[in-house]
Amino acid sequence: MKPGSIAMIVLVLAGLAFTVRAFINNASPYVKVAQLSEIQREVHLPLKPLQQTVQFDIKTMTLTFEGEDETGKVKVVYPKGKPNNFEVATQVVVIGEMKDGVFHARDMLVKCPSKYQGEQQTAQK
Amino acid sequence: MLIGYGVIWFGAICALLSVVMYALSGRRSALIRWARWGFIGAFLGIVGAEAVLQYALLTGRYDLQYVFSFSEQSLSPWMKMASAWAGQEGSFLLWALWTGIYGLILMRTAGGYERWVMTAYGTVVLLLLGILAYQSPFAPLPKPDPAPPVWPPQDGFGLNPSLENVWMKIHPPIIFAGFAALAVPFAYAIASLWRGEFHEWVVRVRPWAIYTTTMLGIGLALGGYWAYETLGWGGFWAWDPVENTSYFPWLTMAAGLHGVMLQINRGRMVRWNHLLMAIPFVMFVYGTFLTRSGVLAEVSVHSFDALAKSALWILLAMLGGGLLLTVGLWAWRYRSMPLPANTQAKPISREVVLKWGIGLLVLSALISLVGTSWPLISKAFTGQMVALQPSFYNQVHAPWIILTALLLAAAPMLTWRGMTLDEILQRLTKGWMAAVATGFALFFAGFREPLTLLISVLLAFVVFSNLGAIWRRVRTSKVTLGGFLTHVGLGIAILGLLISNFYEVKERVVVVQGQDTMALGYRWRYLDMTGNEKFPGDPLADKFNRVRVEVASHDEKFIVEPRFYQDQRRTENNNVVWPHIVRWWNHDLYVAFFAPPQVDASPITIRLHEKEKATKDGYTVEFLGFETGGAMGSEGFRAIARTRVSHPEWEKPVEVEPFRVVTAGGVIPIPVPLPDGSQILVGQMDVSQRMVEFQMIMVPGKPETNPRWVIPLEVYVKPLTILVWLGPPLTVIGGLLATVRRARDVRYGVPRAQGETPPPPAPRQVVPRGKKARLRRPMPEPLSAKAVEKS
Repeated sequence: MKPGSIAMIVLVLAGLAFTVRAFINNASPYVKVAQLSEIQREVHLPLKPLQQTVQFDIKTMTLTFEGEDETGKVKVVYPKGKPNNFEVATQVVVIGEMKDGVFHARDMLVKCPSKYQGEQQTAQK
Repeated sequence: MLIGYGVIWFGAICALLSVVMYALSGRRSALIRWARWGFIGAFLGIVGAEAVLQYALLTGRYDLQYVFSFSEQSLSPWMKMASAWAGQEGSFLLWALWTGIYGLILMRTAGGYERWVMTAYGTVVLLLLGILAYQSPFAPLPKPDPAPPVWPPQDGFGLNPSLENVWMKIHPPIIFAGFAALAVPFAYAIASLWRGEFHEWVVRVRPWAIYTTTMLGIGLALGGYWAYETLGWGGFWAWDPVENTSYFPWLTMAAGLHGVMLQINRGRMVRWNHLLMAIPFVMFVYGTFLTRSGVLAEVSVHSFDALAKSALWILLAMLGGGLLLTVGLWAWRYRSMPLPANTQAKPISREVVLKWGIGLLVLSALISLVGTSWPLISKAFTGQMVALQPSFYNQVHAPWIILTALLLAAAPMLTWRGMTLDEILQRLTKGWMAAVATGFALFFAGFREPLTLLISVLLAFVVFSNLGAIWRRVRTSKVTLGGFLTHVGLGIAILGLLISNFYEVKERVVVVQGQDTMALGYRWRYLDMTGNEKFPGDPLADKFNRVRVEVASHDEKFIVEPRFYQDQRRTENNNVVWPHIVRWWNHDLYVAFFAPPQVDASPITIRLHEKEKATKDGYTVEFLGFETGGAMGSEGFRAIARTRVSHPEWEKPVEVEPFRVVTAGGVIPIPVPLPDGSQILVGQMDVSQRMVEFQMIMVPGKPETNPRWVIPLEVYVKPLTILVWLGPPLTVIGGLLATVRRARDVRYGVPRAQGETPPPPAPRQVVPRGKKARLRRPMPEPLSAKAVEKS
């Protein structure tokens, strides 16, 4: 085998290993509330926020609320302020992990406007 | 709009006619006239549909579902026209429109390839028209039950305000110009495999491949600018599925165009170019499926509408059919494709570097493809959806960009034939010195993180090396500069993206009315709002409201005007943020709301039923009774609470009528002044319980009752964003130059630079294995440059 092709194989393998490692480190499963106690890592948690439980401290910009899915309820703390569409969100995806029975969200996805939206709202007018 | 349906069906029938006639014209060449007229008919059908839609938008035909959903009377005419691509149906129509335009050009320029390439291309047009027939932009607005008094509606539901900007007018047409162009290389690849001709087609497809890559590139850049200018999260690119689905076709097409270069110049990559030319189109259809079918709805921050079932099936047919056709034809022809003469290229040559480059481009495309699809893949195999964080792409692309930058820097200095290590190092020295100098400059400017600095130096190396190549070519008066210019632009843009993202400083600045806040070296002070400022009016419902905040440091002072708007017509996705960007040559100050502006106050509250009376903090409030004014439920309707207020220090009690009024911006309480300067308003009311909560604000001696605006701002300082704006235009100019240059090659033949490249080595015929293969006719002679000229 030529040294060139050996170098190529080594490089490809190293790249592959690196990619797989990055893949595993950044993969975050979607879970249900009932599964939270089993998983000790960062997860995606789709929730329906219960609007009457929402508390927002304007001084510290900390948002706390309870969210539920079909398997249960969980309390969520989100330190980055209230996302723009939060009050009207029917579904959010919080990204973070459980600590001491409270879900600490690092990030939150609330559906945002895009050019692909519109139809379901039409019916409401 | 029957005429809308009519033109689409007319176009679809013409497209069908064209495809059938082109397919049959191999035996009877007279049919080709019919085929051409058929395609022109299909084109006219698409143009007609777009014209009808534009007419409907401009004249306000709000009885159409599409016009009602995405347009409104208050839009400017240009914006009304742009709302043609605000929704699914309209963007399919835009896709079809570009596809039609390219089809006409293709028909005229395909020469001897016309029959084959137009059969494949016409099928794409036919399927697009099929989707439009089932998911029509001309569908009538369904009449609700019970029917409203005014029907059809006199105004539309309206365009989403976050789309109402200049980018909406230019970005979709341009990115769809790129998406639609993907069908041309696809059709050529299919045609080449079908026809069994493997040389002429690369010359013909090359300008298209360059054009497609260029248009997709500019589309991506414009999308990034749009996100940065209007979305308020302070970045250009976020590895969102919607972005990725235009990223991986782009990279694959870029890989393909380099593959085509290799084949034309060195006779290599003959077997792989078909896949590289055809797959990007399939990838784009797949991406359209991902983003239009709603399968990724939970993963993306964008929201998606599902397509109509039948339209979705056509899209799936396009995806499956395109993939099966490509792979099937390719496997069928694989053995008969000529291999290049078995001459090993020197290890240090442009040929080898290009091969590595193609490999890296495909690799990045595949990683993004798999990453974007991972939620689906994991769900299919394990039942649990697993998403990838955007940081995955950043991590993977760090070593990737190092390798890619090295290749990009070396490529322009290399010759096809190859050179020794000493020679290439000598040629690269100047560029490398300039890059290292840039590195030092960045280091002393404070950009010191080692990995980022390394990548920055390498990107600077790309820029200087390619500039050097351009300089050499300008002096020796050669005009093939386009490619180098695109790489200069790419190097600059990626450098800008890297530095502005990695060294961005982000801070939350909560500005409270009447208080100065210090942050990021500036003093922040709330000034006022240009809209309806007075509490408790609701300036958030005023689309043109600007929140003015004064920003001052010791030597400068300016006003930022970020905007926040709550679109009252929508119950979802109704908050719109417009950031304010202050630009200096070396950095941007990016100011955006991260939450709605809020009112902070602790009013004195008194809850009373009708005829009740209570005293708090000296104020005695008596709720005398409800009254109403205006038409119930409509704008201007007022719910009035007749009230008597008294205070020991006043001469006599006053009777006031604070009320809540229905406006376009919701139900707003209107306060009434009291003799001591305080104000009373109706905070909440429950008409069925005959109950009202009164609030006293601006009470003398009680500053906490003064309502104050709290303005939650996210502020980014982003260095060197200017590079992000500087790079892409260079890339576009380079790409268009190269397109024109290579389009000339199709007519006049591929020039061979003197002393640079020998003509491609004669392809070696692979002896086919198996009985069946031996019976096949011999391959046509590969076309030389001269033969291309003739055809």
